[in-house]
Amino acid sequence: MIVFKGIPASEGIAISHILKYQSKMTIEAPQDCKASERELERLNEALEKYKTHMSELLGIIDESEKDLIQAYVLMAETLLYEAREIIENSNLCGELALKQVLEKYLVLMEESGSELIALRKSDLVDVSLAILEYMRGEVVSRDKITARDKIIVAEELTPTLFFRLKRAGIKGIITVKGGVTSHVAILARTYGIPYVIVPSLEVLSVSDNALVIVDGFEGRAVINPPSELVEEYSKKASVLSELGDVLKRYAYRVAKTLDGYNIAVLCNIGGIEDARVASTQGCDGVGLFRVEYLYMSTHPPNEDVLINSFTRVAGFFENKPVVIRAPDLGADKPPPFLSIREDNPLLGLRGIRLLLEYRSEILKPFLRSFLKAYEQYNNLKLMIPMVTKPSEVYEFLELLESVAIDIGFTDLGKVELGIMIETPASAVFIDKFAKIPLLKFVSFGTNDLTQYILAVDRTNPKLMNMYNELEPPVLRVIGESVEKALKHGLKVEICGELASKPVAIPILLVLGFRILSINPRYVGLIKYIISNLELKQFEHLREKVLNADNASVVEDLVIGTLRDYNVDLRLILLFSKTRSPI
Amino acid sequence: MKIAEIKILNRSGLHARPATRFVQLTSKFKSSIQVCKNSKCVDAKNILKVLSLGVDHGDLVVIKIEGADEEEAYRNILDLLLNTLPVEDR
Repeated sequence: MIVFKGIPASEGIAISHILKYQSKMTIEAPQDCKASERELERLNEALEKYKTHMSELLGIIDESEKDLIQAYVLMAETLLYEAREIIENSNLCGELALKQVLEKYLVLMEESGSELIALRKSDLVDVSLAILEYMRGEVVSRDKITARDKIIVAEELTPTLFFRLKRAGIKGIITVKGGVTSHVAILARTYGIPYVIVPSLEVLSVSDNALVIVDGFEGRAVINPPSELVEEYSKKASVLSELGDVLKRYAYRVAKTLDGYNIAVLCNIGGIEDARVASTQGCDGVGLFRVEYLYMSTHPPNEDVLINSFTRVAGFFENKPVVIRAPDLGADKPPPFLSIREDNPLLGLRGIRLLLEYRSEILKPFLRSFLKAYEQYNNLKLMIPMVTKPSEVYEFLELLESVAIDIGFTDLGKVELGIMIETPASAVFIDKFAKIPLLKFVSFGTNDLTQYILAVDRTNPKLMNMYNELEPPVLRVIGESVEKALKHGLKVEICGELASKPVAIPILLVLGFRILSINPRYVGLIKYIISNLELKQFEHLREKVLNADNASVVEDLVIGTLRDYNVDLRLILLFSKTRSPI
Repeated sequence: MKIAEIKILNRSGLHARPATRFVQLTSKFKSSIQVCKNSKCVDAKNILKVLSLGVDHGDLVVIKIEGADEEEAYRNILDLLLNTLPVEDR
């Protein structure tokens, strides 16, 4: 078994055999060539054939995708218009003229500095490749690809190829290059084809026909999985495909329990393109914007880059909250521009500790950028990672105040400030933190919190069965902490993976959470569960789960109570950890 | 000449599909029409030039229209960018 971790670009689960697809993404044209007498005619003929082919596609695609075809035809016409001018003025052959035009625009698109537009370069390449095929008299585009029920593994795919592969009946996609807002990703989501981007060339060396699981929820590709895993995933796949449409509908509604409690379902995101997609998937805002990616280069990011990221993400969510977490660098995410060597990085210089250590290099520019972005978008909120002592927050606040004075920012009282509760110390000491002026909310980061309470490394495969956020000691720490936080008037949120787990939802609600921040792929699922529960019927569970012997007893208690509800229990069982799937 | 400064409100900016809608509209008018971002201006009737400007959600663009039907073009372009496109994207 080989597991590749990647980016979930289209949700869903597919299990099948691999078909490696060599996608050609470079234009081959002779270095030097002369136009023939018929050069312009050749070009026109190729364009006409391309248009015919595209209008054939119109017959097989969804109404919503038809304007994409129009866009492609317009791009083709404009590319050829310029190629014609080159031929008339220079006597180059059509292939080379087209290549020159294409390259000119690819460079311009790259220079525009927009990640989205860089992703869309493949549209132009797609159009040009197709025209060249027609110019050479190749009929590749009409080939019937035998790909029925296959999982396509390719370096990169274009929308045209996607349509052909889709027509051939593929079940899933894995590519090395691409992004969540590329046209292929958008199309995969529209047609419900699971798609994971694995940014590692290694995935191309897997053997053709090997069995693979594409998990478009978690962003995982599992090559040659053991039979138990295949069985587990097959059940998941069949239940999810049966309920997929129902869950999608719930995603765009307000999540309200049967007895009238509104629950905000926010999303965790890790970049601009991520946010662009999440903002169309029913998220009620962003509960955790991870900005570490901005720091994964040889220099700290400059303020323009930071401000651009913050304002763009805030802009996608307009009047909804967007919580930016100050970068949690160190531990498993050491920035390349700092050389930090530690024996035990998980307990080392990370989060707020690192930010205070490198205050002038990292923290101050970050705070300046945050405040400048806030001046444009006051739906932004600020959160501090890995806090253990109130003094750290005070020091952070002093810096925030001095930065505010530096840039003439006078509205500090309006900025909502929060801390992430991910250490046992901060959870236990929450009443002390609550006294800090300006502190408005706390957000439980259950991944690290669970590791620290149970003293279990969640990435250690030998300890897989020991790491479970539903272990009663973890729930007790969270439960008592939430109670104190609420009593002191703090808003309480949760942004760890626990909030994306169906079986945990009733427990989180009875512990007092009304704001959850989750993986955007699960918005429909989690809202569906919330909307079919009656909170008061679960109140009695509070004492029981906090006094349960272990996590599997906790799950049994929840499942036992859920039997009385209109929730499809299979969903709970499939995503639960200690119960074997149905 | 009519000039408008507009903040782009649709989520995917002026990329493939919305850019096509934009170019299809501008091409209907006789007036010469330019779209500018960060003081770089391009022919608003050429899809490739519009795409290469890299206009994204939240960007400020300037539209310059000059010609016999500039009034009508102005009204229609503003309506597309400020109303139609933002309403269409979900």
